[in-house]
Amino acid sequence: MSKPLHIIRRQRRKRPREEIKSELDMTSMIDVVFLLLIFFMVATKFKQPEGTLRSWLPRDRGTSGGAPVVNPGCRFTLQMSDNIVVCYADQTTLPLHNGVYGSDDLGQAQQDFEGEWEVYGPDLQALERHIQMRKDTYMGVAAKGLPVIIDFAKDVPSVFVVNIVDLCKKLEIDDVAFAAPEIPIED
Amino acid sequence: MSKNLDFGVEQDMTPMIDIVFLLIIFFMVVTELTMNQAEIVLPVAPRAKVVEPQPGSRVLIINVSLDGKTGEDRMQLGNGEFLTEKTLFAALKGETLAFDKWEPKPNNVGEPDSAIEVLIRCDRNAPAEYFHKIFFACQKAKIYKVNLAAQYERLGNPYDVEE
Repeated sequence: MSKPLHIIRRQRRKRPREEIKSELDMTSMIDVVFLLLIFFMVATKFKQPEGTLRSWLPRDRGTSGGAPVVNPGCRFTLQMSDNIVVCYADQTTLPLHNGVYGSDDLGQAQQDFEGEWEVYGPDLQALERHIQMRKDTYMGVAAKGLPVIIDFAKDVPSVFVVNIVDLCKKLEIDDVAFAAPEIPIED
Repeated sequence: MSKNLDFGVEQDMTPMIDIVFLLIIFFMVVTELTMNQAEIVLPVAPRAKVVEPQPGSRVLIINVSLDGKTGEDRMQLGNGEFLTEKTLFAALKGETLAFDKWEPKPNNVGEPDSAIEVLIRCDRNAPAEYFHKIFFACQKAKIYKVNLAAQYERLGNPYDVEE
């Protein structure tokens, strides 16, 4: 006669057991974690610090064909000519970068040009001198000081517009406005 | 005769795993995934300052990139779809109505202006006609505070808050 089943189980439990040493294998997890780390290190692109140049829009709309309005302030006009940005300051043509005055004189100067622009543009130092001169001789009554108006053609790279705004900020001119484009607005 | 020199020395991997996880979390937080975003190279303007948004204000960011097909408008409100002049105006108009905060004009004549500000992040080589288009849309939507984004060089302290 065999022993009952529950007695057999008890006897089995009482039998001394060999200690099973179980270790968790961390290798695969570390592999994956390192892969993730490498991915994020390679894919990370830190955000460039950005600032803001404050400006305001004019409240008037531009009109075409009208007589030019006499303005005591300083007006800059940027136009594109043969892949060169020409800057007119109060009806005066400002020199180009490195003192070049026209497309005929560009020559080697344009080849040596290593600025941040893809097209040739006005000399920023001459631009700054002009604004400073106008600011020093400004006799207006505007509370904000010399008003500066920036007018630009549509194909001018935006960096040149920003450069003028930046120079105005440098010379502590707060009244910077953009000329209203001559395009009718449909309400 | 071979002798197994097992002294039972195990290297504790816990600190290394802790550090690696911290590094992963750091990179996950600071990384800027730009898979579906247009890359914009901003112009450099040393006088550009970091302006902290005022409490209760709303700043709309309009991105102008050089990506996309030739002849297409490349204006985006935030990271949304590319917009034309009309759709940009419609979006700005919707934002002004939703925000519904208005400021009186300087001469107190006419309808008030929207209190919303617009920040233009325009690629430095993008044609300035996008400024015109954005200005139009902003004027029509009664938004007159329009700022230009730029990268600054660390000549001064860029965190000087403008008055």
